[in-house]
Amino acid sequence: MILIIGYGNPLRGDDGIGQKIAQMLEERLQDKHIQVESVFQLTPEWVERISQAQFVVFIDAGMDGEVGTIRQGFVRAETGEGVFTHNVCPETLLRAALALYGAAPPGLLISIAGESFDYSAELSPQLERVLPELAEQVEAIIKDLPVVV
Amino acid sequence: MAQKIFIDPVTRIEGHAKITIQLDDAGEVEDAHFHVTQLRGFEKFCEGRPFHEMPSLMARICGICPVSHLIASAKACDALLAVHVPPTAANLRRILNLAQIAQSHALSFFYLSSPDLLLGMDADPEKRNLFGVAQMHPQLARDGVRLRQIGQQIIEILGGKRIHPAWVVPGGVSEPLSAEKRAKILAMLPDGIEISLRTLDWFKGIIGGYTEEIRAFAALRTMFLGLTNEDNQLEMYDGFLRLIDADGNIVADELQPENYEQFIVEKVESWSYLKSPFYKPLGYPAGVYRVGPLARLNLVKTCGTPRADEALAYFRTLDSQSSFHYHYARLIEILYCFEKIDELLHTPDILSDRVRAHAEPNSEQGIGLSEAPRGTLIHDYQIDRNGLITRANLVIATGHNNYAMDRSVLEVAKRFVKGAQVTEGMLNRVEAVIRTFDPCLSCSTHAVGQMPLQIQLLAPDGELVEEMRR
Repeated sequence: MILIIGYGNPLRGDDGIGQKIAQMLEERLQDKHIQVESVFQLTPEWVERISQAQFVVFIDAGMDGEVGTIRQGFVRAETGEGVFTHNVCPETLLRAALALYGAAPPGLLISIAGESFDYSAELSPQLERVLPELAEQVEAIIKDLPVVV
Repeated sequence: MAQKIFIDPVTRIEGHAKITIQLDDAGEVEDAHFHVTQLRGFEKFCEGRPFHEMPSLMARICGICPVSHLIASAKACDALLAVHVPPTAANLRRILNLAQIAQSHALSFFYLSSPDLLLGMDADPEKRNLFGVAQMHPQLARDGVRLRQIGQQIIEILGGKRIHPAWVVPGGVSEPLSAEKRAKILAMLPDGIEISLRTLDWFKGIIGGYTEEIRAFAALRTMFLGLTNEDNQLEMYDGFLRLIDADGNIVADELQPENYEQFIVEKVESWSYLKSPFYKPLGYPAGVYRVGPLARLNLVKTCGTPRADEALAYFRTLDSQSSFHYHYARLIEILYCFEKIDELLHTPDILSDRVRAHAEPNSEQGIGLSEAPRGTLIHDYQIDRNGLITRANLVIATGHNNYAMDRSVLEVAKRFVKGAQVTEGMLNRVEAVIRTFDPCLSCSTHAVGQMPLQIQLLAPDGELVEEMRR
């Protein structure tokens, strides 16, 4: 199973792009081996489900580069921080999955550069305009993942 | 030479704070303070908003306990409408509140405090975290995750989402509980109860290793405030307030929440943005009290559920003044929450579709009070003729404990911090006493998670003598 988690605060403008893309992928990727979730923030309760996945993809907003720029990077369990609060980072979730349940799948973080993170329930016009292309690109990345489910 | 030690920021709490410890010329602790260093001004920017927006708006005050604010806010709006909430809706709100308390307590105990309790206060800070716990006691770490999952899932099932659910509305809840949802929640409860019992047993086994901390954390004696009911039982949603003294005697009883301004005053201190409420008739600081799990269990006769009452019997043998026992009280309340949810889900009308009362505003002021994980929470709104908020006053649970936290830091520092030779273990004990209260500063600040701990020893002229970082 591939687990896709899009996260961010949709009331802070482009910070909601992770959730938005995840919701679009949920419609596009009709595959029983792919589970898509969109959440406000990453919380420790995801650890168990992550430990059961063969691959986990995190989709978040980024602040680097031109608006709509997609960056990818592997998430490494060994770099996760030790402190759990109500909000944790992808690396910590993978490390916790390994420590608590004995399994941490490979992880990929896809970040999409936003422009405005001010109070707004809408994406910025620039990001909204390229949304369909972004969803296509992220879908292509997921379909190319080196994993057989 | 007199010196000052800073712990900035305090770690493994929710929010931003720092601790300063003032040493005298002989190197002994002279004074200490717990500072909340950021201000959000939430009360002010509510002004001018329509009152019916308040539950949703107030849930945004905090990502940790949005449900508690949602409930207190909805109760304040009920008072503005002057309606009687249908009994089924009140019970559904209770279930949501209990799930919130259970998951919040689990976060505090398992994620934030269990590293101190399992690995010891003097353990290497690199290992004194959940991964250290997982290495030494993986079942305990998994139990923490599972308890949080159960609480969060109940909130999601009822409220539609885990964070900032909008199901609680003025006059009741927006939709009734379905039989399917009820069955889903009931299915999770045995697991929650079993884990709670297992953890209570484990904690009783290790508590003997913390005799010195238990004593040090009891140096400050205060009164306790919290909700109870006519049956003298633990009460999280309704009822009346009771205040008891440090010896357990009732100071004031059957205090009505809507009259809170007659007996609670919020004191402003120069060293913190967090206010310090106190019991008005006794003045400040004699009128200072503590709230939260320790207070709630100290002021009631029973929990009112069978297994929590069995655990309460052991709690009664402990020093009721020691803030260390917030931990054990928190575990009892987790157990109580799951037992009580089970009881409420078996009430005959829990699936009734009469879950909301409708009305226009009938009162100019509305006050809502409920118990949040950290203690008594009060929302007080005033509106104009158009239903727009003209004044909002929020008395946050963590605020009630502000003075007690501040003075506890001093007492613990006096006992453990000796001279300029500061060790991690000393400083961690000073932080640990704050963690027993489980302060949530997000209600007045934005929490951003883990930050490095910075401790500075400064000479009276401000020159940096020594610096430690985690």
